[in-house]
Amino acid sequence: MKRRDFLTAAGGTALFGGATVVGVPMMVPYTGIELREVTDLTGRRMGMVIDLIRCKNECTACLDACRKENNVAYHGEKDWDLHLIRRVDVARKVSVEHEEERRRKVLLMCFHCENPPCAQVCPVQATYKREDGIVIVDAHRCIGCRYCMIACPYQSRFFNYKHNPKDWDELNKERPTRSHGVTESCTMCAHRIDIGKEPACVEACNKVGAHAMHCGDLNDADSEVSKLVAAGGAMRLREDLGTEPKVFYLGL
Amino acid sequence: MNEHKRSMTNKLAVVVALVLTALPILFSGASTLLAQDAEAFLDLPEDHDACVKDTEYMRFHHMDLLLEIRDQVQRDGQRKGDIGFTDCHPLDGQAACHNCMDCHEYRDTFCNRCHEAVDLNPDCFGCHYYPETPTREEVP
Repeated sequence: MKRRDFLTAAGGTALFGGATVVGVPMMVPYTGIELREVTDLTGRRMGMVIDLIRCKNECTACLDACRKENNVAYHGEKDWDLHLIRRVDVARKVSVEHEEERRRKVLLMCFHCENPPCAQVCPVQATYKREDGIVIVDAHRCIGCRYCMIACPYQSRFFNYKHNPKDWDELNKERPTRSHGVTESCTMCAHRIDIGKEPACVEACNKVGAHAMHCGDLNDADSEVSKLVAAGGAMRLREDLGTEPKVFYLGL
Repeated sequence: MNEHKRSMTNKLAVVVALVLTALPILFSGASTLLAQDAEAFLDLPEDHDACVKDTEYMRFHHMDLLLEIRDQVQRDGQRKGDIGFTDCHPLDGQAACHNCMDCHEYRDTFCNRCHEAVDLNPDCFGCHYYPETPTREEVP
């Protein structure tokens, strides 16, 4: 066999193989899917108002509801646990009138900032702000680099060091669990908001009768949250950073 | 003579190399041909007698469909309403489908059978939950 013949044969084989691998799927064109009903998210600005005066220190309804809704299990070791919503003591530097006010705890979660630092630093655009202002991690894209955890000034991001247990008794089968190696934060229960429900924590808070949490569209002047914010006294954490969080506190 | 012998050895080496190179391609071609029978290979949902799409189309593009649905739900928040395939075969007056699981109740005879046949392990079910219904054979 001459070199020329060999090269011709090898080239021919490679071409044939390549054409088979690439060509056959191309013969069946992809036509895609069509949505029967499109939800327009633009123009909305989803936010929350948390009334800390109504919030009871000993109640854990919202925390439990969040864990149950989003399949956030305890891993048994404190360092590995995730808290999409958590309650913390706040060290107050200014004097307050009542002792009760000094002991008031604060609910912390993702604040769904208008200028989210986490989304700016994400190298793979796994963290992004939706059209309606909700900041979400796409676990499919997340590579687990944890830049967002460093960037978030509120420490609202958590890292899944372990697989979520799938044999959990209280597993919510409507929602996915997640594998280790991705970051996670509160999604404002976007999956519930999209179908017209309230976030799980808000629903649980209303169920126990505290009515301390409100969620709604801040752009809509008639919504409950807009009215509460407009009434004055609503504060956000670290407004000096310019991140413009969309979670407001009453009685902070 | 010596020259001729070496040339023969070279030829043999070239042929062996060519066969080795072609083997994976031939094998993939053979498995594609064998998989032609996929329609009989996968079970149809109980009250349907046709697929929403051609077998060929689904073989090459079911993952594209899944990715598109995923992006629309995850990134654009399109969770309301039904999803339809463009040029969907009409199924007993059913206009659209919400997701695959609505009709294909059995993961074992839907996802798993093909994936096992081609030894693929997509990691969807590491996080997502597909109803762990029994296989068709086990249903009384």
